[in-house]
Amino acid sequence: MVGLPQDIIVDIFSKMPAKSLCRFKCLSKAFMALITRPWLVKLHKNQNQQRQTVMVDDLIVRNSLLCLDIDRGITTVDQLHFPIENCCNDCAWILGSCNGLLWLLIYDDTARSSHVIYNYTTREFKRIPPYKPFDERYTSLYALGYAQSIDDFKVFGVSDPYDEVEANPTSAKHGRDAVMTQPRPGKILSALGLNKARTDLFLGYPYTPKRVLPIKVWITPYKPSISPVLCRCGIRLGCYIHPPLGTQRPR
Amino acid sequence: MASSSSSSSCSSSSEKKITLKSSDGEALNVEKNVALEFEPAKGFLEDNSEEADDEAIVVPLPNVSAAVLSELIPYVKQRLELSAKPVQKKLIKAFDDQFTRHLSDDKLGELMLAANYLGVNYLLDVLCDVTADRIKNKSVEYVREFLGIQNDFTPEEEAELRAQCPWAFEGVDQD
Repeated sequence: MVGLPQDIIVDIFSKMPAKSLCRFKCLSKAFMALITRPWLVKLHKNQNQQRQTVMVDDLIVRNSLLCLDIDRGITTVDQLHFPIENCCNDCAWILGSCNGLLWLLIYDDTARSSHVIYNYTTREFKRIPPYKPFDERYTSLYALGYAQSIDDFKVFGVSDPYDEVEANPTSAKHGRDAVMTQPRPGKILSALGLNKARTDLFLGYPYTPKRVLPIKVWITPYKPSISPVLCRCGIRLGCYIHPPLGTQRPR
Repeated sequence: MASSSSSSSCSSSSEKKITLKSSDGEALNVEKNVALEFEPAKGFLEDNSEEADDEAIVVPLPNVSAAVLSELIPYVKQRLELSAKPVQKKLIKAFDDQFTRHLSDDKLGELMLAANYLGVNYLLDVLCDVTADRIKNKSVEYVREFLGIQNDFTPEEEAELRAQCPWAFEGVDQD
């Protein structure tokens, strides 16, 4: 198959997974240049292929989402369309983020909360059905992660035994719960997404402690199924970064 | 009401025949609605719309051979029939799969060039998908051969590139 024009080549490559593109940088210098060019990356992203994004801060205001792309540095995303038009203060809390998807907690004018998975690239969103543990006080940390085994995303809640000792054990029935043994944390800082093959949750700690305590991890059976925007180079990560970089908090 | 008027005009135009002339000089008769799917033919027909008799029009397509055209025409015809009905996307996908499954790599290339030239974007899209699918798990050497690419890296440069992302070379299919 010789002599395909460049626009067809671009079409073909934009449909390939990130791993293949990384490999095909070795084809020739021209292909190396093509594959690493920003517009191909953009096209590739638009084809719902893999891309990596880390959201910064845990609160976003309309038109002011900051996101950190490992490959391209910090960028702002303009003109967000919030899933709920008249949400309180035009803002939402990011409970988790993974590969261009955000898990948002939104309060509407009547202070009713709703959980939404939002794809800011395609501006699609999907509501997470009510799931009791997420609304209870002992869930101190949330995370959204991608699980390759089901080619979909999962949402997590993590309870920190030092924040809330009296977790309600019956709530665990709704999802699969796993007990992770971790050193005593000061407080859980962040969840770093999922291991692509094994659906593990990684937790970050501020310092290395001495005692060992179990931490409950709630894994919902819920699958958002919004066409995933995955990362470009096969690394998946989502975290909060404190202090907030640049986004405005109301008040 | 708008849809009924457009469907009636569609059915009347589908009975008219247009002659397409391939690069190797062969003349192929096709329904007008099929010919209108090809951008160059559409432009040609619009430019010559004063001609009362469509039958007399011969549209030259100097970049497509008769062999490729005779594969394209039945595909476009059936695809048009499918998309005229309120059918599920699954059916169209199954039809596309059936069309592309037995294509040789060379034929795939010829069809992509033709679909690109003729502006049949839905076909080009499907063919690109198929091509991407065929090569995505292949080795660098295989894809060089497949796309006719000359390697202009020195062995050292290539080794360095490969060392940057060793994980990308895991789990590659046998050539």
